Amino acid sequence: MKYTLLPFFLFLAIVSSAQGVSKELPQLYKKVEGRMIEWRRHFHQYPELSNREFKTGKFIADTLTALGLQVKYPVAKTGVVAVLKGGKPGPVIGLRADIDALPIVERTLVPFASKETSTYNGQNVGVMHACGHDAHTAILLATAAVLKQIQSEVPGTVVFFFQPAEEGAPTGEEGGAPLMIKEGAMDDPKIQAMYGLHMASGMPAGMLAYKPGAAQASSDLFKISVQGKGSHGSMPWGGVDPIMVSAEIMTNIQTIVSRQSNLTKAPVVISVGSIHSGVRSNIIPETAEMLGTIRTLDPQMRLEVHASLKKMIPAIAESMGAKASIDIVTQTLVNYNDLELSKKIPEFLKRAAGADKVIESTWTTAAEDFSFYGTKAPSFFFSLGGLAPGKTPDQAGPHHTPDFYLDESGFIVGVKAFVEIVLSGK
Amino acid sequence: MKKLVALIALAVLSSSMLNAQTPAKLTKIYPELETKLIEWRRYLHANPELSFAEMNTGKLIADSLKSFGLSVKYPVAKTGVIAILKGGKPGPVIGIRADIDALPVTERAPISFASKVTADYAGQKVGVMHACGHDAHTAILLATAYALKQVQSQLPGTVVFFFQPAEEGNPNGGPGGAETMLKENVMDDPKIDKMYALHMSAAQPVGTIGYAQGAAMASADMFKIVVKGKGSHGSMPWGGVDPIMVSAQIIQNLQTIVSRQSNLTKAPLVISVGSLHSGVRSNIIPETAEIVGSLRALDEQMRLDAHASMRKMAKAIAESAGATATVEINTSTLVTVNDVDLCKKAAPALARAAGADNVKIIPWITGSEDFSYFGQKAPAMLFMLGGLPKGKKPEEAAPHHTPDFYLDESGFIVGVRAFVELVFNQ
Repeated sequence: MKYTLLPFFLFLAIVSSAQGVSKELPQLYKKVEGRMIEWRRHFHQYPELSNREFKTGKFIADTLTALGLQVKYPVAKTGVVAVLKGGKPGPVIGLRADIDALPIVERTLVPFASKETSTYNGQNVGVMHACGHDAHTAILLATAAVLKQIQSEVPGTVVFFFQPAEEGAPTGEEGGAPLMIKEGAMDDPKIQAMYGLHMASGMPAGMLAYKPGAAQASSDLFKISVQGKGSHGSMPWGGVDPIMVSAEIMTNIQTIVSRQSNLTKAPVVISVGSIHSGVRSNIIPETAEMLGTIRTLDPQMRLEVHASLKKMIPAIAESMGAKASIDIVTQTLVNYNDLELSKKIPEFLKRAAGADKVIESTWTTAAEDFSFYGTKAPSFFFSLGGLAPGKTPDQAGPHHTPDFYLDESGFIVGVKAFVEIVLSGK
Repeated sequence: MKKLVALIALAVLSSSMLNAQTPAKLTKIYPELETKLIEWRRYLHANPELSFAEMNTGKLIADSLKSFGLSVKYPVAKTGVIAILKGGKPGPVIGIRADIDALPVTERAPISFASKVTADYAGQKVGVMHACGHDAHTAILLATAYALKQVQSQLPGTVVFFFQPAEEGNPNGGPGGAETMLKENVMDDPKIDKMYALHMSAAQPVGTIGYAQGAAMASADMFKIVVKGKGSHGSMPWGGVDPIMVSAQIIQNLQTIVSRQSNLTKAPLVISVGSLHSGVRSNIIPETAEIVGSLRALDEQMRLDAHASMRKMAKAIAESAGATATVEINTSTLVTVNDVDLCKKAAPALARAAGADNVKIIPWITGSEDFSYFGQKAPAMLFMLGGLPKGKKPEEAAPHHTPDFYLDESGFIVGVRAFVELVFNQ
């Protein structure tokens, strides 16, 4: 009885509260937008690499403390978690921003362009927020600032996740979403729904897009090692050629996509990004090593691809008298937008962006470690456009490139979207 | 008139007698010469020098030849030596060649005169070792020159001794030892009528001789195929052109030039890819891939056909995938052809040197020799001299070019006798 009635009462409460605060909100958004852009420019100018977000984390923690939130810092090495208990009953929802930057030398002409350098894999590199995590962080800080102002009207509890190392922890280190979860960030209070947004440099500023169900791909890194037998290049019959075996493997693993995967269900991509073997023309080497990535949009197909690779690679090698093995290291899972949330949330996105500014997009083979939160609670992830008015998508600097650029005018739509979601009580 | 006819008849008779019997004096000096030969060889073995860096080796050879009383040209082809011995009797101009360079290999053989020499090779500090028997070739040819000098008055024709550097190739790319010597017109004055050489074989019983008639050793062409695709993210291969996939297909299909296009009843052919390098990480599809390999042929026309097929195939495969490929072929050696008439005439002389049971016709091999360049200018013959100790099996012999390479010295004198017999075999 209670259970059937409760949603009804909640619905009434939300509608009334949303209406109650709706008058204040435009003022609050106007007030926060300037600060948010200042924050974003600060993060942009002083970017830090994954698991090295020391100043960024401290800045976030200090800002949230000053706002009056309950702050846990550090979490997952350099991350921050803050909790805001609303004055009304409601669920515990998580909002997540990622805070790390990339080893890229910035080439944009903005006055707050990064001049930072760091070391990455032993090399000196430039550091740049070339994927919009600076915007994500600033938007979530601004969301916290707005919600704090209307705390008494907030239904339930909001937990803000400022997550390090979304781009992947340095080799041998833990980090990112899995480490946040491992440290219990979703457990106390227990998160009932999780939300995140991502900037899209090729989508018009202020537009929102989402994809129900599988939205971003799982990403598995693989390493294939082939062990042959060395010989002189003039007498290959005395050895077992690991380069020929590698060629066979690379060609045949594509048939896992084209012949074994039901592509009417979801796409699959297997890419070999690097192969290295041998030192000179006339020596047949002993070993070859390939590195690659697997992208899937269906968890079952992902497991089938793993099984096929594990079967096919040793078998091809064996057929030629060699040995081969594959190591698969999971980077992200399929980022799955909960179907229930995908039905309920768009209405609130429309309130934030305007009804004609919300579109349903297609899935992509890009990957997001936000997917890990989805294993613990229903989750929903959407995109926010950052393409300057008058530009066409092909003129946008792509993510992860030195020319990546975001128009700031749509950032406030991100804040509005989060606030609307929170006030929706979903 | 009559007298002249009688003289000619006598000359013919005596020369045919010479075939059966080399000057008796030589038989007496062989034992003492053998001791010297082994001393020289051990000195050379303990003091090896890399290709085109045979400064001390060249000087030692030139000084020794001068001390024997030969007319010496030094340096030739940077570090090589040529010596001429005019016989007291009429006859052809015969060239005999030894190669003098060592390899970037660290010696592991447990012998008292093992090399401890190191040098710089391709920017690396390496051990230097006579791991292919060139020390023996040099010592044998020095001993041959010494022996023939002792019987100069009875010598039919002229003997030109070639001590050639850089048989193992030019460390800086570019022409190797034989090619460089021929560019200096070393076979023109006096004009060489026929050319001989020997090569030690670690796996052939000590003191035995083997030779192939016709094509004996393979041509060696280094090839480099550069595939140019278009970079993209590993998750979105459709945005690029994958040079690794194209390389895999090229590497696989190159083998069909051997298996489907070459008439293998005529001669064997080997295409080996010794190195394949592309890319830097798992999830970036690189722009280029580089394939380096070696082509071995035992028939000149098949070699040229294979060149044409490789160029056509690599480009067409690349084009079919939307990439481009360039093929660069650098010739290291030509097919070493043992002139069939020369082999037939040489057979009795070699039998006298080694004993009839110890001379065998052996199959062609895919190893290569830059002695092939001498064969372009005159009928030539290269025979193998065994260096495998008695009681050892061929498979127990350490291969050429390895740290454990070892030669039994007791057969070296057979090499001297073989050259001497060939010279008197007119």
